[in-house]
Amino acid sequence: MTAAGQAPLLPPSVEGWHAGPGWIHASAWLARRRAAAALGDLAPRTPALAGLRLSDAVAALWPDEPAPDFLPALERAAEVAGDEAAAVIVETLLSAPQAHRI
Amino acid sequence: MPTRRELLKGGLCAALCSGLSVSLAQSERPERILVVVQLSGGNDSLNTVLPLEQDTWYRLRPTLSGVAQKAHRLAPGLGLHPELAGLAARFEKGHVAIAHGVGYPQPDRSHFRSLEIWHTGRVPGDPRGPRDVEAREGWIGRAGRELEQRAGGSPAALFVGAGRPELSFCSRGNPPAAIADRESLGLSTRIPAELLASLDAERPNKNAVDALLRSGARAARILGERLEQAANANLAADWPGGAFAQRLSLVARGIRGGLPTSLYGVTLDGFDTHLRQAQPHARLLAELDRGLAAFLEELERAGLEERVLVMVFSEFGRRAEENGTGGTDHGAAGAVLLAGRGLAAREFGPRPDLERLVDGDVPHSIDLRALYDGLRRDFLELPAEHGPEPLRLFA
Repeated sequence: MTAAGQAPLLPPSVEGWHAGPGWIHASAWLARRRAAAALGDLAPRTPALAGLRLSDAVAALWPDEPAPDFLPALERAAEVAGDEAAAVIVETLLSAPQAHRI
Repeated sequence: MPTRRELLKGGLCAALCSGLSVSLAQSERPERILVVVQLSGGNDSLNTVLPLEQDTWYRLRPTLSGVAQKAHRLAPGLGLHPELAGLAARFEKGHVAIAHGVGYPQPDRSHFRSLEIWHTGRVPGDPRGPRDVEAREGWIGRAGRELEQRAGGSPAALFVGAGRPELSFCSRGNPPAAIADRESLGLSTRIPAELLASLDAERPNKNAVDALLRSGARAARILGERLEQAANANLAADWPGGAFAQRLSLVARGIRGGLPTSLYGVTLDGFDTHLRQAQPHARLLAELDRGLAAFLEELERAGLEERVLVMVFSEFGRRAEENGTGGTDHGAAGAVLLAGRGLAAREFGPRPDLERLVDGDVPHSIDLRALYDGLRRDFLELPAEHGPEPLRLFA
């Protein structure tokens, strides 16, 4: 949050927070991507897709439907990742733009 | 305090005003590159550029005028703070110029309002009204948008620093390109590149919030990849430590690495020196001088010094008289420093006359709009956009 300039209870100045497009900037996105990768590190090591229903995970984290070809692509990536499958899934789902509408 | 939803809506409205687009075309290093350095907090211009032969200065500043003893004497009656050795040496060569008394009518002593005015270029009484302040669009963001439309390279403008980019870099419909530091580029990811790209791909028939977020994420991903390549460019100068120099070094890497960016922004914070100013102000100016010296040397070693102009500004100067606690309070106009080649003069505008203060402040003699338009017209080759005659900056 701090790297994105959005530290809780710490507005950028005594004037408070401004609304506007200035918050949707590349630095903030890159910070969010790093946070997603760090959360992926915390995911348990599991055999690829062991019992995990990807559609349930997506439904839990995203407010809308994924593109039709997304789930098969994620499934392939998770299988290739082996015991890092859960980490790939967590990082991917939290890196997506729609994850930031939660 | 607005909610997260309101923040997004604010961005969305701005985006919809002009149509959403993020140009990500690749192009070559631009011919002209402007680096804008913001001294946040209101730099004490009268203790940076020193009026050494004005008795009033010594009378109004019995403590702070002590810097005169070791000042760099640039010309009769004109000195630079002792910590600005690098800039003084370049002034001697004609590679640094001073624009005296830059400001705007009806000066505002609020940091926020004055920064808004400097960032947008919309001064009080502007016939176009506060439109750009409300839309949160800055003068660099505007110029960047025009440059992207003209040349196709992106990002045309890049803010280097932690947190939210300055308003000057915001542009309607385009998330500002910004990067905190070099370390933040090191994105090791488990996600295959194709899958990563699919996450932020444009999707038809989605709502505008989704489109804005995808556009921002896409711009960030591509910027990160491009910057990571540029950031590997080797540096040749002897760079000092400190966050300011590190940010400037990232700008230098971007330039050396061939990033198609024409406008860079960096800030140096801490200039709000109300209390016991002398030592912290000297430290800040030393940090400024050392960082700029390394940056300019880097450009020279790469043979790029002809392409780059550095502009150093602050939201206001300080009051002419020091206060009772060895500091200075918010004032009005201040000096802008320019570092580059081909400058038309070493000094622009009349030096401040401390016998002719207005309400205890140095009044402006150069309208910031004339400075911006001089940069737009003569350096960036963009049309002037304000009322006052553009400042003729180049010979």
